[in-house]
Amino acid sequence: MTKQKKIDFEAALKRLEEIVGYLENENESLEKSLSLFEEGVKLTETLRSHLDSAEQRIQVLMKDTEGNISTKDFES
Amino acid sequence: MSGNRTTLTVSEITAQIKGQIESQFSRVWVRGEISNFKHHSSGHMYFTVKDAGAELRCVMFRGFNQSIHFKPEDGMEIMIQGKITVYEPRGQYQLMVQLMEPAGIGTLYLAFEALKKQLMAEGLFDKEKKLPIPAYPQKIGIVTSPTGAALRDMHNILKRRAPQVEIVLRPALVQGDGAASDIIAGILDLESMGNIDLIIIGRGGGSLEDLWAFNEEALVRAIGDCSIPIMSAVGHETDVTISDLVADLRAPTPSAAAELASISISELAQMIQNQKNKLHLIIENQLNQLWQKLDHLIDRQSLQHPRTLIMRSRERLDIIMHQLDYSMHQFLSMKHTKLKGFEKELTVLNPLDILHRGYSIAFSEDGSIVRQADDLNVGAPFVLKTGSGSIAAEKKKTLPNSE
Repeated sequence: MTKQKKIDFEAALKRLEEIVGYLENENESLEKSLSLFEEGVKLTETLRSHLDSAEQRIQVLMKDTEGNISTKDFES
Repeated sequence: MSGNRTTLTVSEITAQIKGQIESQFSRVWVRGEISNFKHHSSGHMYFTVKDAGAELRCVMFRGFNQSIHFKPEDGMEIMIQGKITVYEPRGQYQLMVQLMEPAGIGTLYLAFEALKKQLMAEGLFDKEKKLPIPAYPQKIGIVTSPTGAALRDMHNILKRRAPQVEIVLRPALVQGDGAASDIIAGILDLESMGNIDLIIIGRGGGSLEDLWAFNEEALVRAIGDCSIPIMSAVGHETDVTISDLVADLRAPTPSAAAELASISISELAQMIQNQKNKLHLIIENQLNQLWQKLDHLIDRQSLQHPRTLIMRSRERLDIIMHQLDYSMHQFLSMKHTKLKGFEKELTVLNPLDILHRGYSIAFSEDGSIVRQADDLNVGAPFVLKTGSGSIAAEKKKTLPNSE
């Protein structure tokens, strides 16, 4: 039902900013820089594909008689 | 004829009346029943309000009457606020209306003000109590009517602007009995899902009575207590409810809430692209710097011709060897010369050499050298050694020294 891979978008974006900031300000060894770079590029790809696959879904929250909460797709 | 009389013209007295009345009744509330209501095509409203004993002409201009959230009708009891103006050409006065409310609202209005005052004193609206609105919410919970304009407006904007955002709708009554408790339950339901980043509660515009649920104390407190940031989006910009005051952010309309709640997908994509570009730039820079360093190292002579170093050492070694050789030679030749000197000395001292010069040595039979004439008895044999060969001889007699 959920095609989108669940990622913590905000955390991923924060990490990306952190990596860029770190690389900008710290003089790291090439090895460390490259591994951070790799992580950063991977993050941008994950975030990008998250956006590319974005398709708004509205779900309706339902509650059964026992008070259990579930959701179903909303047709407006 | 009438010298003592002070006579005013009609205009003069009317002007005085106008001045007095208008200054005295510049802002009054009047309660009464509407009659002769006319909504003119110009947009202005003309009517009278009356009670059992009197009538008052009223006009409400277009600019003011647009904020009325109900439809005024003849026979309706209303409260109006405005100022009395005098229309001099006709000698008439009227109330120029600026606000109109159904008369029943008076008590609600008082309740609103009282609750607002109380909660403000409790600090419920304090800025420090507001939760920050997340910059990139992934899942937004909405508590509103599933059929209302508010949901439609919000969805239209979010669909276009931020399709990456998931919406969870908690349908709720937004007016009438039970609306407040339904909205409270909705907030709690969304909170219990555990993955909602932001909650929007809202509805479209309406009268103060329509919006009343959002002024109920229980709902206002539930909004204040919620652990998830809540954005209120109730009615139009001019409709302020107490929920708006306690919410973490007040959006003037549901559409504005949708805008405020989401960062647009294109902005996000641009942001990510920017970060990616930066990453590439940084790494490229670092690699370039390293290359430069490497090039610089390669340019240095010793690395450019690695053999130079060895050759230089070898040269140095050669020089040292030469020096060593030379001093060895010197040493040896010095020793050689010295040796030659010794040899000469030795030659001079060699007794046999003396024999060559004509001397002889006599050896007795026992091999000892004969040093005195008496060393040998007469008749004793002896050997006379010369420079070249020896002579066997015999002592005849002793001769005296022939000096």
